[in-house]
Amino acid sequence: MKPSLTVCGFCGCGCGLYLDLDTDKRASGVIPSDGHPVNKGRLCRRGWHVHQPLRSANRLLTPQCRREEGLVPVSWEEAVEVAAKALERAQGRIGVWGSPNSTNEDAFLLMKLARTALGTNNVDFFDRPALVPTQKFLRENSASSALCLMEEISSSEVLLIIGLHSTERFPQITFHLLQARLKGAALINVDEWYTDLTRYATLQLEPRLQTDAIWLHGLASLLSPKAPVSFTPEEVESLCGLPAVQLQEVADLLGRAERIAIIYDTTNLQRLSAPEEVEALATLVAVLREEGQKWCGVIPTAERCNTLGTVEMGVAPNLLTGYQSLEEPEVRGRFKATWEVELPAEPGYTALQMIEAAAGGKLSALIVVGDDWLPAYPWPEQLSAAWDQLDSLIVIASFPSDLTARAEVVFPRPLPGEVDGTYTNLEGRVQLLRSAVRIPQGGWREGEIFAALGRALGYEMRYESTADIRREIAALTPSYSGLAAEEFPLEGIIRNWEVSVSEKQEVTTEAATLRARVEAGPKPTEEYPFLLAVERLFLPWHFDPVMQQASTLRREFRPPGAPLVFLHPETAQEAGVRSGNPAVVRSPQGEATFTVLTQEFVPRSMALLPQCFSPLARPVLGEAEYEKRTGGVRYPLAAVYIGPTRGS
Amino acid sequence: MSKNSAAQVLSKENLAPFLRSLRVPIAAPVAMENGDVLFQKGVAPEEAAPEYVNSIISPVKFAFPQTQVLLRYRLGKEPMVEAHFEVGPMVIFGLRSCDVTAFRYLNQFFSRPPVDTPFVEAMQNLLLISLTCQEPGPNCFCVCCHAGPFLEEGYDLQLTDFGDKYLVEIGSEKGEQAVEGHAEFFSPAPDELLSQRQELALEAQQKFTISAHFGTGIRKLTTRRLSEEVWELLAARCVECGGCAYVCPLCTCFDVVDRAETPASGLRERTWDCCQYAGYSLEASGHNPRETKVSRFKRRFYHKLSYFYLEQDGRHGCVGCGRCVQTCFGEVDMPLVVNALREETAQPVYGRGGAGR
Repeated sequence: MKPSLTVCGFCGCGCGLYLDLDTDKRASGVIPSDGHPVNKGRLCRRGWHVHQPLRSANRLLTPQCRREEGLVPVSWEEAVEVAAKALERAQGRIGVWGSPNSTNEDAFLLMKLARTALGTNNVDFFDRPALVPTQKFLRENSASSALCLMEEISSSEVLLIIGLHSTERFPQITFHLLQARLKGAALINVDEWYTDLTRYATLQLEPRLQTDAIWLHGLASLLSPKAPVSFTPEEVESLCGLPAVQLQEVADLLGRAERIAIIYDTTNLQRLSAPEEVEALATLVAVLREEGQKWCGVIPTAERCNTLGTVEMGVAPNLLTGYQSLEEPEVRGRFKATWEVELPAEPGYTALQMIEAAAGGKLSALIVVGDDWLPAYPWPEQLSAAWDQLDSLIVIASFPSDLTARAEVVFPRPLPGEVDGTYTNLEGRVQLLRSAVRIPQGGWREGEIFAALGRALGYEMRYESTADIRREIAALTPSYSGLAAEEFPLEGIIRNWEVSVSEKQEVTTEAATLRARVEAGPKPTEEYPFLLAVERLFLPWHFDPVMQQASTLRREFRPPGAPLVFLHPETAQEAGVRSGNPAVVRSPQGEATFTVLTQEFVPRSMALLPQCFSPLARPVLGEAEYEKRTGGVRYPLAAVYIGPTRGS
Repeated sequence: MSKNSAAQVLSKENLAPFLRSLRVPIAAPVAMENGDVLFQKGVAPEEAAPEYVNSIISPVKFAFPQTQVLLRYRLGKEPMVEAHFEVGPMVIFGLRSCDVTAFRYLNQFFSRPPVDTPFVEAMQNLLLISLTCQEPGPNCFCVCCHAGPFLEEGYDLQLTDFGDKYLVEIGSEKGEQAVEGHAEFFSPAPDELLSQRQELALEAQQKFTISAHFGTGIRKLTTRRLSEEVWELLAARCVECGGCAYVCPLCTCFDVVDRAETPASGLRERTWDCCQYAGYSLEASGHNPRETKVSRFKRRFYHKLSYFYLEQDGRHGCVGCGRCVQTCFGEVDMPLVVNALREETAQPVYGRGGAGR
């Protein structure tokens, strides 16, 4: 009885591990795989506790339907029937909200359900917008082949790290960074935070927030006269606050190196979060590769175990699998031939648009897989309005939550470790995971729920196994054609990028636009001396519903008890406030009160606001902005005064 | 017991029949298709993979598992609380010298009052049949820790591979009983084999590639010779994964969790814990005496290396199994830190990024 090799279900690194079982056949421990290509025996704090949520007594085990008396347990078949009726009633006014923790096979079936039985392109997931600009601009600038493997970091001479605040979040990346440093690589860390990466760095750059497009174009301009958007080092200095000599130093380092690795955090809300910033990065990569004839690898992080795979399975309002455009008739034709149904051609709602539409009464049914995104949602009032307005909310979740409490139908969701299938890690490595323990009480896997819903609505989806689903994915998706292989290789299958490269696109952003945007940004003054910025802090770990079911992780990552603002100890002293006490945060627009938490990593001139509390800071910051090009969110910055509350 | 007089020879074809004749569940190293070696319980003797370097997790997990139910309770008219940990006889076959040493250390630790009954009872039921190491692995340094590659004591039976047969050294009464009860598989070892065994042990000692200078390291740590700055540089390479404690066969920390499984019943279980986690030392008041990562990092090595614990536990807290070398993201593993202590410096991998902050 050999244990099954599976893949960790937390971040996008995709580490191989085994679950130890106790005599009751319950997961009782974790064994990292030494032979696995990603982790080679290493696991992070989360990976070592994959078994703990599987032992939780709080699992949702039976489907539930809403009756007069509230949610009551029902059979799987009855839940499917009730959900199917609700979807029928909705007559196409349906949204389908996916999860970056689903396997490729389950994500594919969810997308297929939306576009066949439900006839809608309203299919998306909350984390997608963070990833799409990367994929889009790297591909359009012929730099897609620059996406590299983590182990390739180790052999690079120069590392450019942008906005990666932590060594713990993607520790397999950290391992290779350190390996490169031990071999003498130069590490340029672009971050205003003071972290362990600052200690590893040979050079720390602290350009102002939301100015990345300018210094990246400025860097490209120094390296090539053909760079499409030109900024001089002096302009960069005045707009970004990045000394011209530092920019020149970086250009010299990049110019001398043969092998360059660029790593950036796709979930950073302040760096490379806007599409024009990622476009500028893609420009730099193209300049280095084409003009400089260099090996230049890029690694965009992926927060969840299958963020990348979920996009690439077409859980997106305008894309089919492997970034194939829904708007191309040839592509739709190919799917029609296999699925025997006409696909809707108009792009659907993005995730945020679905909630807006539901709140405005334009959708009547919503299927939601997973609820880990709730604390990050920028407009909570809109969410409540959506739940009130919706005729039916169908939720698939592992544990009870505020969302399941609002649902019409609840389906239990299996946990990582219980399912077969594949994840695509942040490298684009498609890895096989084998179920290491059974889904409790004969529960269904997600794909079975979607197939049953399809059947109930008159669209047959029948598969013998997850391999069967993979064969269909492979047949429809050139970049995933390797999935048709009979034997799944131990090292996984690196999905093929080259096949999805489209025509090179000219950079459309103009220098004047970028300049105007930066110039319109807030400037600290004597009256408002600090810059308030929204950061991911506490997210997703401290609110992750699965992590919070792991006793050790719950202890390590407790959700904060009060709305907090992070300050450097010296900033707090300057402002006359103390850690643990309330403070007024005031901008020219208005004010709000937060509890101060002092931490050494916080930049001295700044106040950091956790994203989960950003709705409370609207009087100070103004509204978060919907980013039309990606479907994501832009958070404004504000110059603020910080001081003790009145009477304290 | 005179070891040499009792040494025996066991032909390889008799190994499986001997193990089977013990009539207890067998735990042994099992090789996976990607080369991973895991200790598994309930394997057939033929499935065991003795040709291996070391297992990813030490077999001490059979007496001190990552999660272990300690008791169950039930409320109601007749409330019930009962101890609930399983103990039964088991053979661990094929463990390495480092892990044998680890078992002895843990047994001594857990036997000190208050006695840790789940561990001690499990240990009493184990028969340890170890394999000497003639080819140490790239991460191994037991030779620096008095924990291998060949042992003079601590095992029940110690096997040395001689091609078609094993030399079997007997190290305990339990071991002796196992051999005497199945004498048909054994024959007395000739003196020649015993002297060859001594030569093999000396040869194996020359094959280690990692050397960790524990003596100097321990002295410098105890006399606090390493500057705070060096500790900070080392700790900056720690990502707080906790892997070092989880793979370390000498780490004994655990957390206790009570859990209601239904409103009227539940259980208490313990789960491995790690002193590198901030929550480990967090007090109920919210105060954390080891709030910074560097203070936790230092604590780990003070516990494993300082004279205080060395006197209390009879040895320093490392058997040189090399598992932390494999699992540490920052390579701030035991040999690196011991050598940093000796040299009073961290490796120069840091630039000027942090300067002026």
